[in-house]
Amino acid sequence: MRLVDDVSPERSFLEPETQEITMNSLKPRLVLTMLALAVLAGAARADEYALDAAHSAAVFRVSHIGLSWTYGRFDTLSGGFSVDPQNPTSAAFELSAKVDSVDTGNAQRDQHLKSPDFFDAKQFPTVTFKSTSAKAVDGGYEVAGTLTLHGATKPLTITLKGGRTVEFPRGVSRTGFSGEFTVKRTDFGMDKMVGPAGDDINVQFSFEGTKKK
Amino acid sequence: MGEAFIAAMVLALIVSLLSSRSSRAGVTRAGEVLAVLAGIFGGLWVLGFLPHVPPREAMDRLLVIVLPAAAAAEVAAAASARTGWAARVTVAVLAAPVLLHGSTYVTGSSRTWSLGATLLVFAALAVVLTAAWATVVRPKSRTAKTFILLSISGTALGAAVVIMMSGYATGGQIGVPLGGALGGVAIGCFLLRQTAGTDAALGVGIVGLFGLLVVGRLFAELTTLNAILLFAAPLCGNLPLLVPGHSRFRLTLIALLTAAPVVIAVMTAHQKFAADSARPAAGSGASVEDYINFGK
Repeated sequence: MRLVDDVSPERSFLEPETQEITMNSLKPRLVLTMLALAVLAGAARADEYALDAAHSAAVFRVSHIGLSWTYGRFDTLSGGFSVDPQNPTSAAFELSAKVDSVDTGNAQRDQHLKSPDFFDAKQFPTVTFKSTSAKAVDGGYEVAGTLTLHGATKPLTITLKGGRTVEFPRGVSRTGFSGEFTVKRTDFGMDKMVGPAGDDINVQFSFEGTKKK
Repeated sequence: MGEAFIAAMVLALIVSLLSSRSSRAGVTRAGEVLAVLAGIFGGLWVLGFLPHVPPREAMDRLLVIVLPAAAAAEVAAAASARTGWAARVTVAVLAAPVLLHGSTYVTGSSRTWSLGATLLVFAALAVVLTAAWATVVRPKSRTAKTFILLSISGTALGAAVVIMMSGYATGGQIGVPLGGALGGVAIGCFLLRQTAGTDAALGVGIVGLFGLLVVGRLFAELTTLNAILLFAAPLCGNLPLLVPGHSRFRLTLIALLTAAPVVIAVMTAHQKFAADSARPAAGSGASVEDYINFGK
């Protein structure tokens, strides 16, 4: 079958040389268009979440003179993420902890941790993880990104377990993830008093997000 | 820390003695500056606290930018008084902005200080540093210069203790090599019975003390009162030089007026540190020095 002049006037204005279009030449275009629509539809379904700080936590532990673990947490977290179960690679996460909110249950130690001996809160006020890519794994996502700590940004890949969606309270859709990672603080230039306080920082985190309407 | 103090003092003394062999004032002046810097960095090396290059934090900027700039200003002063003061004022104006660069006080949407407050703080600090700089290099006699050097040296040691007890253990320790280096130059001046280049060491010393206190106050928990007491100490020690009198009496007064503010600052910092440490679940009784010396 031969279709002649089966194009809109606008199309003929834009591309006058393609006024003769065969069915065969139309097929790939239709397939591409459908694919593009499918991708767009998928993107449209990506759910954006705001971090629910009340149900999120970042807890760290550091060795104290090699004998025990000192545990602490960051009380102020912020950020957001977007996930699309149909298109896991489009998932994106950005989570920040305010250094000034560090809490180890000991005010004197907290002040010291905020000082330039450790986090240097006045110079480097946040610790941030920002994803650059993601892929689905059993029970969650493997997320590659960058961790910015003490003013230095280094690549970091973390596994996020979770992603189940629940409506709680009624009308509020939420999801949550958990994971952990370990970094060497000296890699980020936090290189003072290594020994009394260990080099490895193990961070365990868990967060929920409420779906944006 | 004792080793760092001695290393800084010996290095500064050696460089100071070597540079004094030149008859050219410019060389002697540059030598004194080099003596102070060599002492400071030698002491830092012993402590294991060499700065990051490029600088990442305020203390790095003090050691890598501000102190060398002060040293350059003092060398420039050998050319002419006018050139020297232009360079000194430039360093005094830029010192605080450099130290606070990129900090939460002046950067970001949630900066602590408004633009107006920032300018006001920078201007006030520039005026204070310029005035202090002028005060310490004003005396002409060898004895007075030597005593002022010793008073800044002693104050730097006091500042080290106070800043360490104010929650910045590694930053406070920088006062130890600063004090040692200035002490070394002072001993050199005393042995050589000369004043050439002493102004250079005084200038670098007062800028070093200023930077140490600004960083301790704004990046750690050094109180404003203690920062003022410590910066005022060597300047108070200058007061007896304004009035004529018996030299031994004046030197005693210099020592007392310098020591009093330092002792008060150390005592108040120690009281606060002890009170914080005595809180329930506050700690194991280990001192800051215990942690710093752990594993050594």
